[in-house]
Amino acid sequence: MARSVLVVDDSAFMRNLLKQLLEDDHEVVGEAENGVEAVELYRELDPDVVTMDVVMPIRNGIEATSEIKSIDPDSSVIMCTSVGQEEKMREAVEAGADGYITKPFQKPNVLEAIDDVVGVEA
Amino acid sequence: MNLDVQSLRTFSRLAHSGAEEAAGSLSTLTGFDARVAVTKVEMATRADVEREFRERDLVSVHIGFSGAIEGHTVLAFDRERAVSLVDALVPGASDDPDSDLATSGLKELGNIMLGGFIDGWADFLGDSIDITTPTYVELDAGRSLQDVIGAEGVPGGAADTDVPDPSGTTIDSDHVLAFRNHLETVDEEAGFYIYMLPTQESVETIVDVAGNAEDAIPVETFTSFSQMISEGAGQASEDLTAMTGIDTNVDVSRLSFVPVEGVPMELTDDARRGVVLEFSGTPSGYIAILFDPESAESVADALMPGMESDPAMRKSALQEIGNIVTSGFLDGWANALETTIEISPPRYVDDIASAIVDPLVTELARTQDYAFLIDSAIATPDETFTCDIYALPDERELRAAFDQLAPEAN
Repeated sequence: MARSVLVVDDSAFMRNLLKQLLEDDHEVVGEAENGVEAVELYRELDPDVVTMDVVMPIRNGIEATSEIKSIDPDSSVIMCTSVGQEEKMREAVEAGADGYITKPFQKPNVLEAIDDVVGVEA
Repeated sequence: MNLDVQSLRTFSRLAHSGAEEAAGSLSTLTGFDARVAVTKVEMATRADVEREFRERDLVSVHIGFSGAIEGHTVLAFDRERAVSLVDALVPGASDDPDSDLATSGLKELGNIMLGGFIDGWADFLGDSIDITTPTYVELDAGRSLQDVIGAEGVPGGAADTDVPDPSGTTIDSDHVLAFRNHLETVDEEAGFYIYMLPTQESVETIVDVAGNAEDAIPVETFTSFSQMISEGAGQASEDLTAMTGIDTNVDVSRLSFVPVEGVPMELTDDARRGVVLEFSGTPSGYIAILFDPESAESVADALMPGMESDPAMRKSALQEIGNIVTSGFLDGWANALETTIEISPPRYVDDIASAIVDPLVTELARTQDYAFLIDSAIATPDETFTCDIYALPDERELRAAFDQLAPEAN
């Protein structure tokens, strides 16, 4: 089932790539390029899933995830990041991230991660 | 064996002043106005040193030394430069650069330059160092550098009957501590390289005289870190391949110790594009991921086929590649040190390489006069693109990281 996805990444290239990977299966309803925008758009759009970069200017993905989770504990956030450090992964889990995939990723990884956090069926 | 920063400084200073002596001899003998561009103390893998010589089509003069310290020195230069040297030394001999007369001239040049290079070390140690007669070696793709860096159980190379067995120059079966000097002349870019490869016992001798035992780190820690750098470069290479769909390999991966002001000179004055990132944690520092312009275009093409007309998106793609390569490079360090290394968002750069790192070096120079320089090169087998990685960690924080790798040194 198609899910609404909010894509958060400071890289225009990466946002574009994620949109291309998701377009056949899900609907990208919004894009944010930092943690502040991510929280604002989450409130506005209430997406099923958020793909969240970690290293971003203004507010990073860990802080944004923590805030989104405080707004909506049932939200689904997948960290999509180039950072593969174990400590960082722990921080992401503590912030409430539901999934964690490491760049560079392929389409099946992203779709599988979404299925894992929101379920294959509604 | 332990190494400390004070010893590394001494090594660097002696190697630099030795290279200045050699440059002076070169100028006197040939009329070429030579200067020392870079002096590096390098913890390299044997394979990297070998590859560097093999790929450059270098001719070289080798001299062994023994006495207060033992090991090998090599004066190497490009083949074309060898011909011009022969002309300057023995007018007319360049018509047949392989003739006995021509090679004899080069051997004598090596003898004088390398002899001058060694003298400073003897003066420092207050002892004598004897040198062997020079050996002329042509290195091509078909030969290994066993006669330079040694191999277990393998004696020196061709025509080296008076050169000591070099197998002792290795720190372990994979690594070698090399002193690498780059000399250049005012009129031409092609340079000269002086390598010095002391035996492990000789390194210990100098450390005993110059070192600071309280600050000492087991040499195995350096080799462990060198291995971590290689693995980080390997991960970065895998990530590049995954992103672009183009096979890549790690060409070079080195840890060296250089005067801070020498870092920009280590980089090319050719144009480069890429990203600069700051990392913080243990250690903190800077990293630059640089592509030559053609490589940058090739990478952007591979990432976004058919999007040549969108320069902003191509720039963004390059930033993201830099971001991912940096993470691949540093994550292994963080995991091995059981710490977190924060990475800043990538800053796009487009300038000559030395100018790109200059502000980073200026920042580091506020607190340190020497720097650990980590450089790796990733390339495709067909040279579709090459990617250079330069990391400049804070010296004291890197030492703290070394301590974590080797708690027994505390």
